Amino acid sequence: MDTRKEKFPHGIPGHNLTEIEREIPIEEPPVWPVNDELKVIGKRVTRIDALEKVTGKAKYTSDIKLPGMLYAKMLRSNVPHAVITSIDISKAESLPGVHAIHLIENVRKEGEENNNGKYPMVKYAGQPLGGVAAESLEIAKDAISLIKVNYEEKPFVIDIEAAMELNAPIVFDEPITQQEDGGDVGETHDGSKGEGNVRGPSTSSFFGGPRGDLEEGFKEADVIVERTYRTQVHTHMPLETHGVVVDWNPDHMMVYASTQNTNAVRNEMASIFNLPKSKVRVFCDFMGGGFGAKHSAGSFGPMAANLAKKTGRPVWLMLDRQEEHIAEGNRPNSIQSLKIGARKDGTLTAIQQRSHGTAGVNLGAGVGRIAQILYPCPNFATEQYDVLTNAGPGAAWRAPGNVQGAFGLEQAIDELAEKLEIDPLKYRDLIDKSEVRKVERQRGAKLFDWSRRQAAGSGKGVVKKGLGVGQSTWPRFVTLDSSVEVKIHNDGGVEIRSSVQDIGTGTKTILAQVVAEELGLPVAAITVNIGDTFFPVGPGSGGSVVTGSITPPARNATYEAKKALLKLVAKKWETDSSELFIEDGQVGSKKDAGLKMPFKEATKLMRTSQISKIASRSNDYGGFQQPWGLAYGDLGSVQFAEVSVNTDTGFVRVDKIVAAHSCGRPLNLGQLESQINGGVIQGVSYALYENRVMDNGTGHMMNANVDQYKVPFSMEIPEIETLIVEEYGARSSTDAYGIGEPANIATAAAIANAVYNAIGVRIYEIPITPSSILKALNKVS
Amino acid sequence: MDNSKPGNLSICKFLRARNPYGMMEGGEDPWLLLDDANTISWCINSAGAMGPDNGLVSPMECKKGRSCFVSQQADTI
Repeated sequence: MDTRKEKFPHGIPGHNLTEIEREIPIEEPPVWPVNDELKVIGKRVTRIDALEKVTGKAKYTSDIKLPGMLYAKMLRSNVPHAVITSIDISKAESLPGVHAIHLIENVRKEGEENNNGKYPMVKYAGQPLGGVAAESLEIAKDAISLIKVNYEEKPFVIDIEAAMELNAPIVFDEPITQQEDGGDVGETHDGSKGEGNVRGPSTSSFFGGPRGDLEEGFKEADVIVERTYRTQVHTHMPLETHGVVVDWNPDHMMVYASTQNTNAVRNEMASIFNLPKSKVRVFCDFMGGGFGAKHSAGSFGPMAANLAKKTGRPVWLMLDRQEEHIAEGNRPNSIQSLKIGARKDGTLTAIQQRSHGTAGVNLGAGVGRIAQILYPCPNFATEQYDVLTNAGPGAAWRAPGNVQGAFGLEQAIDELAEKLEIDPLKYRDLIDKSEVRKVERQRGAKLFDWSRRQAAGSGKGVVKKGLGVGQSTWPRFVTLDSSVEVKIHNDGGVEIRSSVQDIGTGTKTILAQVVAEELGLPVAAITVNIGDTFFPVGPGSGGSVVTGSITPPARNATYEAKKALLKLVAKKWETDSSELFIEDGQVGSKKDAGLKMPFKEATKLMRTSQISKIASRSNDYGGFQQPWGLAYGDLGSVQFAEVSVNTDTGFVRVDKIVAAHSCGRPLNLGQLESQINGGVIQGVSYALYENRVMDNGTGHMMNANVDQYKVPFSMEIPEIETLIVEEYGARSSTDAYGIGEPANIATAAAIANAVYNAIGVRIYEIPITPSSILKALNKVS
Repeated sequence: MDNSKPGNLSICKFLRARNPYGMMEGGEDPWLLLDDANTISWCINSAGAMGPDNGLVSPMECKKGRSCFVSQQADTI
């Protein structure tokens, strides 16, 4: 085998750092030492696109303006469940400035008879039905208002508990008789318990299925906590809404997209319009957030393309805030029953979880994984049910299922600790086997000053202080279909190319850092051209996979390009290229300190105009836990919350969050802190504010705006202190992972535990509002 | 658990599915085989969570035999 052995740093500096030998592919670069010994990696490097962003120079999808471009608006249903009998577009068609109307119609395969009707059945209010392209957005909106849709309305159900009743209106007419459940991936088995709108249960994940014997586990328990927790539907609210600009030229389709996955959008558009992938180009330079909901072309992508096809002109189609709320994804709600048993010494004996959640007309409301894997427990079982309702479809939302699950689990663990008369942080030391979370607890507790914590509800006065903690885990995933091209040009320029997109997290900057570190150049010398599907395929930005997937091939391609350049210098110096290195912008020789050549001068030795090397993500050193990219280890986090609760008004203020996190080798401390800040703010918002409110009588979302759909403003954002724990696993040439998901998981649980500590009454449902506080304190009925 | 994938899965080419960790495209041998549990699914033909037959979309539902099923080999909608 073409491999070599190298010793890598392994473990946590200041705790258990040691070395481990790995067998690695012979073509991969030498091991990097710990961050302290690197020049660019692990440092607070300013975002390379910061100036463009703060000056407004950065062009987002909605900023795209093309010659002859038309503006489009979607037609949406205004009833939640119906058969469409007819759609009259005559008035809209005749409106001056309208260029095309496209209605979504059922597609019949050749020779097939079916009774599905001309138009898709309506399953939720806000479902896309068609679109209009016009000279201006205003005209397109006016045209939409002139379209008359005739409905044959059907009974509908919005509320999750109403939908679970056996006599509830059925969302999907086809009977749901069986769920083949294999957890997340692969093996299937028969659940067979779904009926009506209820589907499931899901009982397993790729971390396994049920363990041990629950009955025996609870028999062994000296203490049992059994509670029901509720979480709300939470919409994504990215600053930039979903949307595209489609320019369908004769030779190819150009799609400017606000997307987390240029490659997926390209593949979708190619499939839908039966085009070769090489004839579809998707481009995303700047992107204003997605949080999981932007992995597809949606309905708006094909709509814009159909309108572009009909008109022969580019079409701009960005959704508005209301559409974003009602139709482009949400975090499903949950009703979770959790029963946990422990011995007097704290040892967990059994965890039983049962949950229901609704992702509207979609599936995907499970919450069980974090209860399955955060704490070792010999006896475990989960039953997770999806409940179908006539509401907008759910979508992946920053740590799907885990945020809801952590809210329940981490409160139950707190309650268990109290029954055992153990400090909740010490109790986690006892039952949590993760070494990195142990360090996070130690360092976080010191930074937070956990010793200030008093007995629950013991504070004096109207405003009571409370301290709480919550933990999380997130698996390390890698997308193997991740490639990067690195070019060294003969003018000294260095360029990175990949279809991977930067969704605002700083991917451009970390790629530049990796290449700069490897080439011994300043970060500013690196040009990053990404977010374009004409470049090598990069990963989608979801599941915190990007850093772990794309930075190793970036380094590996750079290493190959560097070797090619050094061979040219070696030839000139009549030496061996293995003796040469690049540092501080100069090529040097280990043998002869007098030999120096500026990098730019070295690039002039090329016979061609560029050196170009492409690398793809190789397997992890030491292999994967699962062959499709589940790596060993986890991304642990511990968050501490300090709150003030006004017991007269019920107002809760989060004063401070200390967020202790790990992500392998940290690449850019500033950007990591920024992502953690964002995750924490979303967690605060989830715990206290955001809540989709539906009208059960009409099926409409009543707060589909930024006024009544409350998100925190600056005065409601707490002081956030981050603590990054370096943890080396020796798994790739960068050994780095992402932080997107972990930053968001534990916050709501930590806040709920802090609120309990403040007032001495536990709140089992979020959002925690003044009303719920006053009810808990028996101050209102 | 055994995560080996059965061959010739005959999942509709227009299915897309995403769970917390990865994304699946339909076909006979998706690189990451997801199932219904904890998975958000959509049909790119009907551009939504309902299939062209108005039924639920999921890796287990969008298989050969369903009226709107389109095989990976089919080159047109």
